[in-house]
Amino acid sequence: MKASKGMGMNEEKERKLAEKYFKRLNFERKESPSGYYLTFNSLDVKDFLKESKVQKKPTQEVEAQENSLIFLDNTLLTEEKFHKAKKEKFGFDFRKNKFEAFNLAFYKAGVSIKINKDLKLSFISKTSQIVRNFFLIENANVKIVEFYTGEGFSSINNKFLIKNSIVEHELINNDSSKSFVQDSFKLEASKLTQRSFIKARKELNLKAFNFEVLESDVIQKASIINSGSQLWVSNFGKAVEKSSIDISLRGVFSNSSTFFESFLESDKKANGSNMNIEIKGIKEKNAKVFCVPSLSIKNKNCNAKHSFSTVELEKGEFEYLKAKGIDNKTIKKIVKENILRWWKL
Amino acid sequence: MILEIKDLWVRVEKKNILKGISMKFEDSKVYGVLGPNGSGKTTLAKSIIGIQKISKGKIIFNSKDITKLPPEKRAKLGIFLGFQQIPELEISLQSLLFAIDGEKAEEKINKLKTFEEKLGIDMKRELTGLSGGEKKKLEIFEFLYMQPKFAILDEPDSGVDIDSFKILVKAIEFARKEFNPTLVIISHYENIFNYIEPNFVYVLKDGIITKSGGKEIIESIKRHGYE
Repeated sequence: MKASKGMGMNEEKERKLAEKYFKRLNFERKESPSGYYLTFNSLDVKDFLKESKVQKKPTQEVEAQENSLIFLDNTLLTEEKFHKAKKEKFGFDFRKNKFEAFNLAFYKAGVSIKINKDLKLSFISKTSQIVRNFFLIENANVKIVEFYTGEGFSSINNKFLIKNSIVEHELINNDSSKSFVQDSFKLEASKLTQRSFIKARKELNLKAFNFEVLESDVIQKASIINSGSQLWVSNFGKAVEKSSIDISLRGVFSNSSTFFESFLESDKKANGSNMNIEIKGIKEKNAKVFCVPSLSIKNKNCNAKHSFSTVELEKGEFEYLKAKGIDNKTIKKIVKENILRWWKL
Repeated sequence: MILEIKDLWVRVEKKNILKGISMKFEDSKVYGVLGPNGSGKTTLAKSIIGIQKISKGKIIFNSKDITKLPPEKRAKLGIFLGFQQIPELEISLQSLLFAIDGEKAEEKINKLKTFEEKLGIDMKRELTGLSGGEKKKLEIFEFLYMQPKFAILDEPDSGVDIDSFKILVKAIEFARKEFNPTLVIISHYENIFNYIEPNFVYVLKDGIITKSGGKEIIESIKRHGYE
C-alpha cells in the first residue's frame, strides 16, 4: 500500500510527518522508514479512487472474537433491515458484540482509534461529519463500510497506516460529487491564536478536522485557547497496567468553531486498565459542537467508556442572574470564567 | 410611595394567573403578601422584578414607569427579589457579587463577615447542590449585600429549621436598621409575621386581591384560613 499524493505533498514529506506522529504516539520505530505510511486527504474523491486501486490484499472476514471490535453507527443499530443484511454479509449479529454500548457513545462524538497488532476492526457507518482517525499498526486489519447521506462525504479524516496493515474501504451510496478534502493540520501550541486557527481552518476548507499540538509540554497550557472561538486541546497521560483514569471535561460552547479534543494514550501494558471519559458542555444557542475523544485500545481486558453531553444555558439561570442586576454579556462571561476555574486554569 | 402596581394581568399558557391586581407600597414599610399555593404570589414577585412577562398593567417605581425595563435594570434601581427557587448555577456567590460590583464587592462582603459566618455562606462554593435552607440563607445574604430600596422575599421561611429561621429574622432586622428598605414578605404561613410585624397585608387568591388591610388579617387567616 502506498501513500497518497493527493494533497500535493511529496511522499518523503508525508513519511516524515508520519514518523513524527507515530513517535509521539509511542509506536515502535521500525528500522526502515519506508515501513511507515501516511495518508492525508485519503478520502478526497481522487485519492479514494487511488486508494481503492491499491487495495490488493483481500480483507479477511471479521469474526466475532474477543480481539475483534465492531464499531457500528447508532443509526444502524436501530435499523432492523440493515442488521439483517449485515448479518448476512459479515456472518454475525453486531448487536451481540460486547463493544456495542461503547459504539453508541463514540459514534455520537466521533472516534479515534489506534489499533493494535492482530486486532481486527470493522467500522460501519452511514452518518457523515464525524471526525475519525485511524492509526493502524503492523498487521492490523480494518474494514470500513460507510453509508453516506446528504451531501455525501466521508467522515474519515486520516488514516495512518503501517506496513502490512490492511484497509478495505467500502463506499455505498455516494450520491454527490461534492465530497471535499478533509485534512488535519498542525500548529505549535505556543503560537496558536484564534486568528491562526481561523486562518488554517479557512485555508483547509474544513468542516471537520484534527488538531495536533506539537509541543507536548505546552499542551496543558493550551487546553483553552480563548473563550471566544474556543478550541480545546487536552492531552492525558498514559494508562499503565491496572490503572484507572477518570476524566471529566467541561466547557462552554459559544459558537460554531467550538471544538474539543481529548487524547488518551494507553501504554502497551495497559492490561486491566480502566478509562472513563465524561465531557459536559454548556451550549449557547446555535453553537455546534464537535468532540473528538481519542482512545487507544490495546488489550482485550481494557475497559473504557465515554459520555458526551451539552446543554444550553437555561432560561432560569439567566433570569436569576438578571434579577440580581447582571446583564446577558456579563452572565456569559462569569459562567465561562467559573468553568475555567473549575478546570484550574 | 415607592412602588405601585396598576391593573396587572399575567397570562401563562392560556391561563390568567394574575387578574388585574393593583397594589401600593410605601417607603420603608413592611408588607405581607399571603395566599394559598397557586394563588399567584410568586408570579407577582417575578412580574415586579421583570422576569415574568405581563399581559397588561403598569408598574411604577419611584414615579418612573418601569413596566418595560429589563430585570437587570430594575435591580440596579434598587429592586430585589429573594427567590423561592434558585436554579443550579455553576458559579460561586463570590463571582456573582463581583459581576455586580467589580472590585467594590470585596469591601461590601467584608462588612457582612458576621452574617457570612452566621449564615454559613461559602463564597467560593458553586451554587449547585444547595439544600433548601442553604438557598434561603443565600438569598438573605444577597439581600443584605445589595441593600435594595424595595425587597421582595419570596417565602424566606419555608424549608428552614428553627435555628436558621432565627438567623433569617435577625438578618431582616439588621437590614431594617441599616438601610431600611420597603419589605414585601411573601408567605403562605403566618409564622414569620409573628417575628416581623407587617404594616400592611395583602391576601392573594386565584390571581386577585381578596383582602387588604392591617395585621389583623393575619389573625383572621390563622383562625379561618383563606376562605
